[in-house]
Amino acid sequence: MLPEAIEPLKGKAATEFIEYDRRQLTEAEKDSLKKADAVYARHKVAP
Amino acid sequence: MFFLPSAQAIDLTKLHFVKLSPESNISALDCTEDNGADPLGLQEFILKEALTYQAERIGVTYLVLHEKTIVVFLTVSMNCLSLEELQQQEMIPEIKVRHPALLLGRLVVDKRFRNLGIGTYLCQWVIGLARYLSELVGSRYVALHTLPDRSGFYKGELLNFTESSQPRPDKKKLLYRKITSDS
Repeated sequence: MLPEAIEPLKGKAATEFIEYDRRQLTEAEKDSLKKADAVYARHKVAP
Repeated sequence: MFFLPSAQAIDLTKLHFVKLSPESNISALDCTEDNGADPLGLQEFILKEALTYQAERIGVTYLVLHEKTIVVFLTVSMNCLSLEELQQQEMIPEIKVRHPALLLGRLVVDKRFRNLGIGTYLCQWVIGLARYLSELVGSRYVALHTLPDRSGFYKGELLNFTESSQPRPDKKKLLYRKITSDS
């Protein structure tokens, strides 16, 4: 969720951005991202 | 237990990550080639330069341990990709600035632990780290530079990196992997 002070994209600009981003991801990429999240969650590091 | 397909001897879920420090005992880490050569200066880097890089915030190095043995070191830093370095399909309408990225500067598996799937697992960890950080600081890619004969490892279906067609001044290739998701 965006902080309240930042105005979210609206209208055509928001639609174009979301459609663009979704078009770029294949199922294999989505699956790969889930695995990456799981691996990092298992081995989180702190400063 | 969780194993990658090629892993045989190490339970990857039990790897332990620690940040490099002056107290780290890295004397046993062997990052050289099978013949003992160090063509990319990786052994030199971890032994002599990594702490300075870290102190100056050029790159942060993590040591990855299996039980009490260091099996990998990896170094990460902030970076960015120019639009020329990205494929046309990566262009975002109305956004013409360079795209922020996490640079996987070095990822080296100790020669005694190679071909066990550790490198793939740690690349996934770096992608996960980048996704976590991108919630705090804008970042859209993981990027790395590697020799042409090693780019296939990163471009495979487990990691899905793309090779930039932009020529570089050295012999290395630039590869990048988008980390955003629409979910």
